[in-house]
Amino acid sequence: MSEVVKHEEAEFSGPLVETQLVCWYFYAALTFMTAAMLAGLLMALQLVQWNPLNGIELLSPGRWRMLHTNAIAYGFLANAFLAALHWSVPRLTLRPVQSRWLSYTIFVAWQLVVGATAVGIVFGEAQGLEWGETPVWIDPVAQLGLLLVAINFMTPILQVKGPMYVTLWYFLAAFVWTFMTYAMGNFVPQYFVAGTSAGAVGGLFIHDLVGLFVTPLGWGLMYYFVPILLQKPIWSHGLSLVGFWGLAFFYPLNGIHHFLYTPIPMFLQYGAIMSTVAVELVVTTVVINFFGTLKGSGRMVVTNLPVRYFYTGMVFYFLTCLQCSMQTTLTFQQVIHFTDWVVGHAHMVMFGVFSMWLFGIMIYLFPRLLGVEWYSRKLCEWHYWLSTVSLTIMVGDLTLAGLFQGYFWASLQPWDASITASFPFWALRVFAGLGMFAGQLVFLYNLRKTLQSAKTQTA
Amino acid sequence: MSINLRPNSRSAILAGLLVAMLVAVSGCERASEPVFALNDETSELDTKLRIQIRGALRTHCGTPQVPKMLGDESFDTKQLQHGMAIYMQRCAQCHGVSGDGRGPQAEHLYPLPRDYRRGIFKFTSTPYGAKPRREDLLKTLRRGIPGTSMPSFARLPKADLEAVVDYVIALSKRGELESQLVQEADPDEPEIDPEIVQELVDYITESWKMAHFTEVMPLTPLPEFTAEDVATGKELFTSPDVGCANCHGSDGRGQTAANVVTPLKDMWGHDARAADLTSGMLRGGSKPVDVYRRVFNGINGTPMPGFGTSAKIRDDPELVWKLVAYVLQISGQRRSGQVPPVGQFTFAPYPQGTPEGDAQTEDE
Repeated sequence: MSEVVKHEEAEFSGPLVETQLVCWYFYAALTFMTAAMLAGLLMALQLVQWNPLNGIELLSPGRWRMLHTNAIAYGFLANAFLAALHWSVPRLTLRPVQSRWLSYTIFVAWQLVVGATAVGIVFGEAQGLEWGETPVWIDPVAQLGLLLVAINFMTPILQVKGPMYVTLWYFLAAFVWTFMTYAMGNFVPQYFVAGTSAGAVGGLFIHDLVGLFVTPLGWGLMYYFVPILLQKPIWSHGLSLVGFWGLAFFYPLNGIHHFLYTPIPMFLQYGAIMSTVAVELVVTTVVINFFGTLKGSGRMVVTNLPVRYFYTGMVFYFLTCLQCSMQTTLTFQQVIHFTDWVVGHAHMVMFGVFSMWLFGIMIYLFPRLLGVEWYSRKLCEWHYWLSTVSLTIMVGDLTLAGLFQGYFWASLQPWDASITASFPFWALRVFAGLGMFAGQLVFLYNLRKTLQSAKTQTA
Repeated sequence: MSINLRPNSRSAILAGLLVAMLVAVSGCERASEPVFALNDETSELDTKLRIQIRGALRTHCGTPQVPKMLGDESFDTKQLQHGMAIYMQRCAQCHGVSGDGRGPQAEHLYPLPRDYRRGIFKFTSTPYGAKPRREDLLKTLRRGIPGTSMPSFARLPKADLEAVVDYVIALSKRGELESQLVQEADPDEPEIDPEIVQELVDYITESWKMAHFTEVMPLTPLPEFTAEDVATGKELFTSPDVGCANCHGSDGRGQTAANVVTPLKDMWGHDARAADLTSGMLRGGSKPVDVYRRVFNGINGTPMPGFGTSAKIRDDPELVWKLVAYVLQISGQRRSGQVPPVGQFTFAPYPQGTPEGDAQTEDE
């Protein structure tokens, strides 16, 4: 560990890291994040019956919704993760990636994949799989892309002699798991199984995309960046291994909990519930480990912006997993299934945790990539507070809305009654969404100004 | 340097793509303008008569683009056009352009969307057989019809709702004129007498006008329901001389052979099954006065008769409220956690046969 820190301090932009590519990935990620947020905003407006694009088939709400979720998964998260990987993997292994040329090819190919997905969805070509709506003709290309990514990063990692730091464990696993998860979700229900089995596989896909692609990369990056920023090793390496193997052991079956009370065999449903609760215990060990690391440097959360982003994300992570361990039980599902509770939960995970972490990483990395300080620390603060407060409002609002909806349905009122009751919540959600979007715009403005100052400095 | 140029060119490309997409989208408007489809019976007539009926309908009721209110030349065309625009956006998918209940979505719905063209509406505040009042139609729009695919439109502005009601009335008058003209049309005579047309127009106009003054109000004020009222209501419900149970079953579940196996037909030719009153979804509304009117007036176009004129009720008008008390009690059962026992019959709303999937595999 100390070796890593020493190396980190030694140099900020050596030839190891292709800084330009890291920047490009971040720009792409932010572009898709903006698109995703716009789409989300449109959905929110649709729910309060104020859709400005009403009546345009190609831009109808059902399609926007898919753009929203896909742009986050494959546009924002994947791009931002690739950026962070291009920064962290060479630094951890002290070796460049397999091929510089391959890196750029993957970058271009991946933007084409995401762009084609967007176009395909808008034209109604979506595959009938939640979060995997990527049209079937893009699936093989995306699969190939994932393979190339794995080769590109695994080459330096596998050359490491001696014990591997936990981040690399997570990364290695993520490359294998993401490839397999994508293949399982996009090809198995499409070509091999149907009916309930396809539903079960679809459920596994949705959740494994979170647990086996986003989670290991996210935690891997945390294990890398947090000790660097706090300038001390992780509290317990033993616990970090518990976290890794716990994830590997308990996560894969989780996805079935999306389809409780269905014809899926009960042993699978119970298995999914139990492994979901087990994941919460594993998560607790990981969170304890990180707060143990923070111990003695608590002040950093106030003074150091990236650290604040990271730890805010971890608090949300703990909350969301706690929520998860309860909401997967059959008792909770009776009330909250199909309600906005689930939507709130998804936003807490994807925005509150992983997007916050990636924003934190961006805030840490951009000055190092561009060679200038942020244009305005104050605007960074605005980004943080707008995002955090708005997200908290949105999650609280949607969770409450979900409970109301669930109890309305359970009381056998006409469906319309639950809609009427949801309106105040949906109205508040628009404002929460606007707050998050405003934060994003502030961030983009700040980045633009920073880029300008970088330009004048080099000129 | 290069870092700085890239985002600019990227955003330019992105903006270009967006513009291109919007241009592509704007070319995708629906090309054909809506037209009123003819009645099935009209389509079967001679060309000559058909042309005449079409002409008469156009003269009195206009086209979807320039609709007219039958029998009211001075009616605001703008208002009708406004109603038409909203109707086309929110209603025509199910109810069809001419109000025939055959919109593109209709085949997926059960029960089927209402066919307005007979001028008959089920849930009114007027006596059996009379036209609805404007307020009745507004109420249906606002409340929706629980247990069917008709949603509530309560969130639309009042002006929009009023306009839609006007347009629905115009459509329904038009449909009525058409079906009356078909009946008058005699294949042996080449022409329909214009006087007959005028008579029909006047008759239809008058029947809608009259409806406004025939609102049925409860004969006695709404009492506070007691357990005793419910018990009396139940007795009446099941007694042979009132006869609710004949169709609805003694428990209100509609589990009678007459209802399930050989149901009567309604005016639209569909099976008219007496409602399962325990479902908790009273289609005509679940306020006491709504139920009162269903019992007292009956339900237009269906075999549900009005009991207002029966001797028993003329003797003691208070009895209607007892029935209402019982109906409300059984319809609230499920909501209070009681589940009525499974009945003898199960409903099969869709035609039974080999599942579609099997048929497809055979084809392959």
